[in-house]
Amino acid sequence: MSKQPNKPKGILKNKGNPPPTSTEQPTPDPREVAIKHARIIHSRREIEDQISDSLIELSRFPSTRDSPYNASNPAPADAESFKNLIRLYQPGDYDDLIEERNSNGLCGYTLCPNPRSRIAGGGTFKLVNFGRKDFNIVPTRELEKWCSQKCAKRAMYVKVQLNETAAWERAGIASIQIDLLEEGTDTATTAADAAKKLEKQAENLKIEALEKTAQNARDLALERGDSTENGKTSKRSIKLTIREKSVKIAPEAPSLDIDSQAHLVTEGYKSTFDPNSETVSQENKNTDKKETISDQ
Amino acid sequence: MADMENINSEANERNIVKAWRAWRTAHEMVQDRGYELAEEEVKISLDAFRTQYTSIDGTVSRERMKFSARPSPEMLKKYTPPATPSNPDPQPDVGTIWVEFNDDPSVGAEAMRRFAKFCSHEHYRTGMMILSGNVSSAAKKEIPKFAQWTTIEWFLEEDLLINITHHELVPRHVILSREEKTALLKRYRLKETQLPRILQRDPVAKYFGMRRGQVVKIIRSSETAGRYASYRLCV
Repeated sequence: MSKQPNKPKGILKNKGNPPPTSTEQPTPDPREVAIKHARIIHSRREIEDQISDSLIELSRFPSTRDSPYNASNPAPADAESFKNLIRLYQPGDYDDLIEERNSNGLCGYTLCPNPRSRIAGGGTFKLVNFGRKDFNIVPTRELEKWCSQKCAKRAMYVKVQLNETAAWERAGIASIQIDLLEEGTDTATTAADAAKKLEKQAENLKIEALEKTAQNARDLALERGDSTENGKTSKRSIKLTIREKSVKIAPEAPSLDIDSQAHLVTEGYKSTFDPNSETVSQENKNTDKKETISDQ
Repeated sequence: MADMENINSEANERNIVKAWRAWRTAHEMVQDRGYELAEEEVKISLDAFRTQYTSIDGTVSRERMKFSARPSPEMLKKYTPPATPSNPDPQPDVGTIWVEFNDDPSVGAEAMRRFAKFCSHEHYRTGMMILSGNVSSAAKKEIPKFAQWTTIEWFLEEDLLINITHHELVPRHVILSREEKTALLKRYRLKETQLPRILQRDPVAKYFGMRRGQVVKIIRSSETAGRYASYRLCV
């Protein structure tokens, strides 16, 4: 017998390293954690407050309503501050802004100085473009949001650029810029702008395609079971040898001869019938006996 | 021309009656919550209302329709949290209420903010706005920002044309004080969450201005038992 009783061997897998001792990773002070999270919440609240303040400000826009400026050609200062303030909005906030402007009696588009249109007569729906191809039935409420269809288009042009992600996640990103719908005031600049826009679109498309191929490759690797390490796909380490079956005779097409019992064969085996077998029913045996008696 | 005038005066008359009924319901609501109001203030007759709150041309001037009320001693007692060693002299959760009528077609965030600022500046613990138009969603978002100083409530005037608690299908609702609530939970050995619930936006809960965590006793008449009381927790 061994002098020292062996420790019973565990059936559980060995964990490589013992758990790190508490001295290596000091537990953070709960108070500090709480303060940190409170700060995060506080900054979020601040951004929300900022948005609601700017909403009230934008609901009174534009600040200059003089004759040279209108919705298609807004005062530069107004356009600039609108672009800056609208940057952090979510589409829902933008809807609130439109509603707020309407309750102030203004057109929903922020840079438009006109009052909102009021459609005479009752009815919740209205026919637009009657007798034309783009005929439509629209709720009156939708129509009354704007002074004209053009303003609706301009406002929607801004709305589609807004992002659903939370405002505090976007606050630090300077690259988010909102463009206004360019108006056809002078053709030269608009043509140049159009070319620039096309270029930008093509670039975006290229980037998108690249991203897509990379994603596809990643997915395929995952499907194959390739491990990815540091974003680099490693080669599989399975040895593959292809062994051909040796063929001795030339292959022959199956033929159908008259005497063949191929139709009785199931999976290469032909079932046989043995009359003396125990499994044969008693009745059949009896009839066999009778026959032998009559013969005698 | 005479017909036109006739129609106009008729519409105006209807408008006055509507305002009067909403005014009465608002007073009844404030009184039912436990604020102090004189009986003649609540049961104002149509003629008295007409002389007080219509302008010279005969239309209702809703800017003049505003009032405040102080909580009665019973109400103050009901809403005072029990004294604890750390807080030996607790203050009641309720204070003066301010009620205002508004005839804007829609109330925006700016108007709501102005009203909330007015209420918190004048130290009204509750501000009630009775509107003829709707409230924009941005204005609704303004309300919780002032929750620390004042509770803002709003009602549509058309919802106050009749007092819903006077309807025969609405049973009597009694809001329990803190002591009554603890006694109830002790008596039936319940946790708060085991009570049936009532939503804070329930019309009757809105009428009584219930807060989350309050318990309301609902007393129905029963054919077999005479009276049947049930309790609901406001969520």
